[in-house]
Amino acid sequence: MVKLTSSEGTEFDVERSVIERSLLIKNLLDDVGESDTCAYTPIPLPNVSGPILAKVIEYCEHHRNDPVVGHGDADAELDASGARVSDEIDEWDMEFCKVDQGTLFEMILAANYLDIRSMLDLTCKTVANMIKNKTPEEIRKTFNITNDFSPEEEEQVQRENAWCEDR
Amino acid sequence: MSAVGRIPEEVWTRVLSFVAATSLPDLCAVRTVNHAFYRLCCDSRLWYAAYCGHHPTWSSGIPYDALPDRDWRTLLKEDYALRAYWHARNKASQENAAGLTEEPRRYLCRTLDPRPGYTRNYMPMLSRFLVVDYVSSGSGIMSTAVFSDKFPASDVVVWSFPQHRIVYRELLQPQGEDPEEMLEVGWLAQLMVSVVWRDNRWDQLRVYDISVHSMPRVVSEFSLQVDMAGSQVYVLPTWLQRRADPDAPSEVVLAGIERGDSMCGLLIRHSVRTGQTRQFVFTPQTSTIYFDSRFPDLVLTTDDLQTLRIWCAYTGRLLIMERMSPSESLLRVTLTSAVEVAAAQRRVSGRERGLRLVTCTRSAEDKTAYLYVWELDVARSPVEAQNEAQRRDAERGVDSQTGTVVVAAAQEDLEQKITATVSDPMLSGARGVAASSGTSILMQQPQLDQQGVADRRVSLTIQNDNATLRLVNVKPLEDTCVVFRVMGSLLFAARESEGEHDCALAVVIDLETGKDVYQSRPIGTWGNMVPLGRELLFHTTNSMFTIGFEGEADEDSVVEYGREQEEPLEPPPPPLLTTPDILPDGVHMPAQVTAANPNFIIIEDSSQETTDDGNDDGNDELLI
Repeated sequence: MVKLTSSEGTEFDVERSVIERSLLIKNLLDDVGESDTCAYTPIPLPNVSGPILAKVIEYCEHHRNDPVVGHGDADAELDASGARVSDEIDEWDMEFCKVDQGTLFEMILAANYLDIRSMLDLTCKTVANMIKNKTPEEIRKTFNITNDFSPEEEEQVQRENAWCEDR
Repeated sequence: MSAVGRIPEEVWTRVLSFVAATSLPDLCAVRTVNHAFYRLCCDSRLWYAAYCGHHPTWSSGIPYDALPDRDWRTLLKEDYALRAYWHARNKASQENAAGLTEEPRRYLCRTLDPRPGYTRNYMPMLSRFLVVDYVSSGSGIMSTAVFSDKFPASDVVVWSFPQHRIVYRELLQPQGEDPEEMLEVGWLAQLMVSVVWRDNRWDQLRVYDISVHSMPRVVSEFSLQVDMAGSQVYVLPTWLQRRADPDAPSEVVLAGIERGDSMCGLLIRHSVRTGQTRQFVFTPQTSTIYFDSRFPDLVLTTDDLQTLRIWCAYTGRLLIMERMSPSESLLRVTLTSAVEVAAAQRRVSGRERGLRLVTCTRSAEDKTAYLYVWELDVARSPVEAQNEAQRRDAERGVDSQTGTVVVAAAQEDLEQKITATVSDPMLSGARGVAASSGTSILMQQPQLDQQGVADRRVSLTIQNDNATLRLVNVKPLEDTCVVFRVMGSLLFAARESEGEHDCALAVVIDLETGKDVYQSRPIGTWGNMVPLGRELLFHTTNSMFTIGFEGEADEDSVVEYGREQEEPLEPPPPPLLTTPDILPDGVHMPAQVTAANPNFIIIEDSSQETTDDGNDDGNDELLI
């Protein structure tokens, strides 16, 4: 077992094989080695709150038997995987991501920080799906974004986009 | 900080890559949200994801690095523009099909029946060769020659496109008694190639320097030592080759099949500079041979056993042998590249060339036509292949400067080795490695599920010199067609008009789906066809015309023969334009042109040309 401490100091016990879906923790544990100390020394995760850490552990528990994907540099993988990206999300994952937007963003940050590639992809795809089929104004509203374009700038960007609309 | 602002940029890029891969309009909507998202959307990786998502099978295997400046957005824009154009034309064509109007057709050249009462002494005919040469991605020349049975001279006319203006006209006078026919014009090379007929066969090819108007000058000639059928003639370098290698030497290339019992595939390369002729002899019983000047290092042959072979056109090495399913007839093969213009700007090799082989077959069982798209990976770039050929010549003590060198391709040796390794490869299902290093034999069971058409095919592939061929898409076609040229992910072809004998129509087919994007009305007597930017050029025995022309051409550029002419052709009028008028930016002619300096057109700036799609919003985007 591995002990994790959230930003508020809450401790979580989790099986090593489960939490090793996080490459950050896996590398940390590999560096420490097989000594007993790791079982009793909590790993502090100051960037992850308790509720989010609970979601992370829930995710890792559910996907404990999935093959681990995405070692290496994130940008390189994005380059190489362009043709393979899919927006398909299975039912459990979809339910898992049915959270408020603030929580979803916290989950993205946690997945990114802990380097859990499949969870990062899942949460990113969920945000991507929130963008699809929306107008710029609807996107702004969804994510509470201020439009800082001048009317002229906005018109120019719309002109630049004309080539791929309504096809 | 807002919730959105807390997400690092690289994570947003990841989010947007999922948006890009599935919906381009959504990506464009994101660009319009605010400055920060606009900046994020400038990341070329997003447009690469969009390109791959837009063409899932077509782009398979083309790496992100395949564009020198990784400008996937421009490539996507060009592709969209071309598709949109043909979609729109199709709509117009379908409306026309209701019998409202004729497909607008603009003639460049035609012969007319003599008026009643005139004798038929003068029977003008167009050269059988469709001559087109590009000087940039959207401009170049087209040419034909008109001759008659009675008069030995032929009138060579060269038009520029897209302007449709006559830029060169010359009366080609045979130098002896034997008839001489114009075959090809290389505009950047400023060369014209003609053939001298003797005893009803091609005897000698003559290469003219046409850089000085009204004074064509023979700079090279060579005799054909074999009787060739089905010949194609090309002048190299193309504009693409010059971008990769400004010093690319001028060559005349002939591809054909030897007449007689052997029917060997033949490729002849004649260097204008040195006068040397290299003759490659390929497999006997060749049924078709294919060469495309865009890919000067490759030549393809097929035989009646449905075997496709891909050879190195510089060394004669067999790179790929693909035995297609015996239940299908191999009708046409063609090469293309999704990134050919961009890739040609540097000496790329391997997957970065984005090479695609497109084959069209017909099932013997149900006569259904299929379109196959293969990913072709040739380890060497054209320049590297050329260097390899020179190195081999040096090793064998071949003088590369003079004479004729006959290279019998070494396929027999290779195929014997393979036969010894796998006694019955079609049945064994074995995956073996031949004795010679670098050669592998693969039994391919395509793992494709599109409409279940691929799973019944098994083919045998032999790969040599680290070349690989991989099937990426199979689609049933609406009807068999004769493949002519693939531009980007669109295939331009001709198809026999239903129920009308000897009458063709032009089609533009989406390689991704196999569906027609555009279908013209029947265009009449079957001839030859090639796409020119946004036009289609048709060449028949008695006319040359385009459809899709949208400019304003001078009526003087339409050349008509026959109605009132009974006399031999008059010397042509002086050219209306000077040559440099249709040269692309960055290309100029030096004042002095000498025989010792055949590479007289210098490309100074290779950064131009690839981004211009007629839509000018690309270069003045917001600077944020």
